[in-house]
Amino acid sequence: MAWFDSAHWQQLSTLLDEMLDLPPAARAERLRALAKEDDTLASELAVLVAAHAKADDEQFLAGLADAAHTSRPQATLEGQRLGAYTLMSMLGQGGTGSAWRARRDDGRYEGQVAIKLLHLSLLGRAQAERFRREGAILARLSHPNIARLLDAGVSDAGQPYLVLDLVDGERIDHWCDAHGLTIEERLALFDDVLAAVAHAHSHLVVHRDIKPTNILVGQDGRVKLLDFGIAKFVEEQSPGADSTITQEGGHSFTPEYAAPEQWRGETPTTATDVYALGVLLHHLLVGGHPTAPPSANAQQVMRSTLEVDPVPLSRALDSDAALAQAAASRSTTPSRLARQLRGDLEHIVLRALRKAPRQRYPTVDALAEDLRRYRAHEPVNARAGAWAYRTGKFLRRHRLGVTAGALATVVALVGAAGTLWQAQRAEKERDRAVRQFAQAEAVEEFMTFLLAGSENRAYTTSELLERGTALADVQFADDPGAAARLQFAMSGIYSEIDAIDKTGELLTKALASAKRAGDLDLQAQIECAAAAETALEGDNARANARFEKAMAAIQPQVGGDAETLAYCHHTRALRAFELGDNDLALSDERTALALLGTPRPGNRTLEISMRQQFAGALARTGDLHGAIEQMQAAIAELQAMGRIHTIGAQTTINNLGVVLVRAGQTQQALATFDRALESKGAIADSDESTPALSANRAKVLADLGRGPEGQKSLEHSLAVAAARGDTRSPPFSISNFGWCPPGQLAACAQRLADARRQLEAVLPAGHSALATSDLSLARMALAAGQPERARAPLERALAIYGDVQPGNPERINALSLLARMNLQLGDPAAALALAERAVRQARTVAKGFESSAWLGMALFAQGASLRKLGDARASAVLQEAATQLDGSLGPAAEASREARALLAHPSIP
Amino acid sequence: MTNFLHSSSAPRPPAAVNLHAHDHRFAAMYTELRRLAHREAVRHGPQAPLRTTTLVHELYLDMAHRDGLDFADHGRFLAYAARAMRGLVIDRVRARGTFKRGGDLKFTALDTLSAEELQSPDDLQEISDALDELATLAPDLSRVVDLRFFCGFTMHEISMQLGISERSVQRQWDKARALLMVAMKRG
Repeated sequence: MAWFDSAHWQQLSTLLDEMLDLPPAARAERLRALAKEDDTLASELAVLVAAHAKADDEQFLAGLADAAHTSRPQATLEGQRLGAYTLMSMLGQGGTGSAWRARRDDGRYEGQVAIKLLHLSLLGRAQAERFRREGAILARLSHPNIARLLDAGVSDAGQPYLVLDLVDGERIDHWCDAHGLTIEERLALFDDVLAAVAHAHSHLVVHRDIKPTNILVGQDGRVKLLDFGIAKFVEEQSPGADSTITQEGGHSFTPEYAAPEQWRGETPTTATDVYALGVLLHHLLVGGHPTAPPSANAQQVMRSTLEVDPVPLSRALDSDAALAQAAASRSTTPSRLARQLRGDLEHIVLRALRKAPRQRYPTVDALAEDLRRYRAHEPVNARAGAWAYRTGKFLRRHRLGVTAGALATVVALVGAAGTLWQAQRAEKERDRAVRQFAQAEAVEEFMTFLLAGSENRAYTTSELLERGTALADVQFADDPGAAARLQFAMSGIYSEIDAIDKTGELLTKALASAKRAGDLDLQAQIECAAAAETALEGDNARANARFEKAMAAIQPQVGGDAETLAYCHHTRALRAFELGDNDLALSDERTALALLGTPRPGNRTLEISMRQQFAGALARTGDLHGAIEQMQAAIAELQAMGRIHTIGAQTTINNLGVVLVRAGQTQQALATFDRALESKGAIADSDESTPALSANRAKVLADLGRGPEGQKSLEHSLAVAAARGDTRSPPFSISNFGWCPPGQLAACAQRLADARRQLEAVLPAGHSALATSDLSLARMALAAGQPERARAPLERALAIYGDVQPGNPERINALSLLARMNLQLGDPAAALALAERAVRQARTVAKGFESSAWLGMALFAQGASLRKLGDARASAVLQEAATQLDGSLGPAAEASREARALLAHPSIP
Repeated sequence: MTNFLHSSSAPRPPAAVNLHAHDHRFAAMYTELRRLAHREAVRHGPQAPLRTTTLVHELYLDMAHRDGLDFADHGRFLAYAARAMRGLVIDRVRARGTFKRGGDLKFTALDTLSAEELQSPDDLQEISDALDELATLAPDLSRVVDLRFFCGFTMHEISMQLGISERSVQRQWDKARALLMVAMKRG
């Protein structure tokens, strides 16, 4: 809104919240009070409040934009096919997706299944990828008491789904009460539950959401557990009272069954499942909850879980009525029940419910074993109390920062001999990857948290960074690897905003953290980045030393580190390029590309950066062929990545065009600029690059003799620039354009002079861009048949170019133009001398190209001079000129036609 | 001589997390959305309903496979996706051509919709322009309008997806409408 600036809006927004919180009757009063303090604010607020009321009255936006034709998917799903299945009827719908009854149609599998359709939006970006992987893991769970995951997939339409055993059954707690199961019978049933969970644990899958609604008993009396490991994807909202689902930062669990560490945001482990089983056992044995009072809300449940000691079974039924009722549904008498609840059984439950995970049963098997001992009247281990976990070093906890976003299903198991070997094997296979993954996850989630800000205000970048740094110090105090990554990431941001001190500070911190974490890879990366920063400060010696040190550190290691080394070389190349050391930039970038080889999917962007950088360095050394090659490769890569319609890609295409012009491939250059401008429509904010693109295109059109078209393009460039408040590009754009409408030379000259003055104000003296306006003026003058007016600008231009390497195409251009000037002034001998110089230089520049506009123009000048002098060599030269011009400018271009005309009519002077 | 007016911006060392907020993502999304919608049209016929919420989800899955398209958080993705969807919806309405020029923007709920109450693309465009303006000031607010009015998500779904309370969504919605009314000179 044009009349609010951001800070003002913040203020208004907060006040508006206040106002809208008030009942309408009270608003006028509040406005009046506010008007006394700040009249303007109050009146603006009044407008907004009134608008709000009016919006309601008029039902503004009450429907849908395209109501008749926007449909909601749920209603249309019945009868839909999903792979080999057909959806029949909806079983339930929750916040994360819907569950359907479905049948398989291809005759391979009789019976019905349950299909869960998941809302993509609740999957993190990376989770969508892991979905498939984890589906594979979960499908490996095969146990009579686990509702099997039959299939997990993503439909053609991109809909992820899970296919599960359809379990028609009743919740375990209801079933037990409905059938009046005794304590022993309940324990037997519970034993099956434990077997199922243990099976999953041995496959390194944690259930995470054990609760009665996930444990069904079928008609045959068999227990089936649902939703193993799926809790992070799917929730079911049943109408029952105990299923208030909480979302903690995107992670969901049932409050009553959540272990203390889940509330604290830690990763669920097998011990978490043990806790939930403890709650379940307590519930099956005496009804009710071990810590929370009846009808507690989630908050209260949380508090009780964290702070209140569980009530022992013997004290849970504290009234005669309660005891009697419980006994009835357990097919026993109150006194017998009371006796059973005392003693070892009590202690078993209490041990499973210990607040500290380490103090619970180390495995589900251990719990099952104790219960077996109880039933066999053998002594139990429950009284062992605080078991020392001597094998604690195998316990890995991935603390994932502020939001509990644990996504790895791999869990290292603790302790008891039987499971140790599994833990070791799992570690070897996945340790490094999981650790890095978890850390990267942690950082990403942390950043997400940071950036989410709060509803009521937006943070500035520096506030965010301060906040982030402080939080990181606390959050990742015991996870130096994650801290290192975070600090490294933040140093990148500081570097972006040129906060040099902060960048250095964070890099130092990151390095220290990485060292503590013993992550050599990361250390090397940080060292490289630090070296790069040092280079920027201008201390080349120190920078180089740091680079060498970092690279040396990487060298001796094997496997996977070629990438880090590549990155280091690339970073050094970047700085070298910025500081003008072209040779180093070239060699480093070459090395970097060689090391990177065929990039992994995650490195493709890096490769593109490298190629662009390489191209720039090559162009500087005059290897235009190489530069073009690299840029074309980068563009092809962008195309393959589906990123061709992006600002970055547009920029690259533009730059390719520029290099093509430099290389005298004018026609190709035009095609390139056209291509870039074509995709403009698909790119938001592409106006950013339009002034340059259009101006470049204009210049090229002028070169091809299509002046009027070029003029339009130039005007477009200037218009867009004006609309964007871009005052920087217009003088460049104007300087580059070498065509003038007939009869307007004076006006054009003036325009060019103005542009040149503007450029002089911003460019250092002798900058080659200053010469372009001179060249443009010269061309206009020659085209207008006023060669005298070309002399001064050309001499000025040559003076500037004189300091530049002889291979500079613009210099050749200037020489060719000077030759033509002399021709027009009637001095063919001088023209010839100049033209021959131009041709010699052009041949060097044209090497590797089939044809070159520079060579063509130079030859044309030479040929024309020879013709004027009556020299027989003229035809041959003009022939070559025509060939060159046809090839580079295209046969339709003005210069090409002129050359051919001259060739065909020997009598034309 | 043309110059590198837009030289490849100096690439930065890749950080562990990419936080650049460049709008080239939007372009990629819009293109992708059109492709998905087109595929739908091919499959179900051009007159079939535009299943906007499904498309947003599909778009998400598609984008998830794209290397380098980072979204710092899901909320941002949604903002872009919903914005892209807005464009698509307006395009569709325009293409359909069966509308009555409603002078007043009086909408009613879906179940009592009649032909007279269909939206005119010009009205929608007006709203869209106002939303773009609003987005520069308070992107959260424009996002809710996109999600609700153009994409057809329910308040509950929006609150789930954005991870904020329904009450907050409702408040954002209310504020957005108030601002739009003012911007469109109707309040």
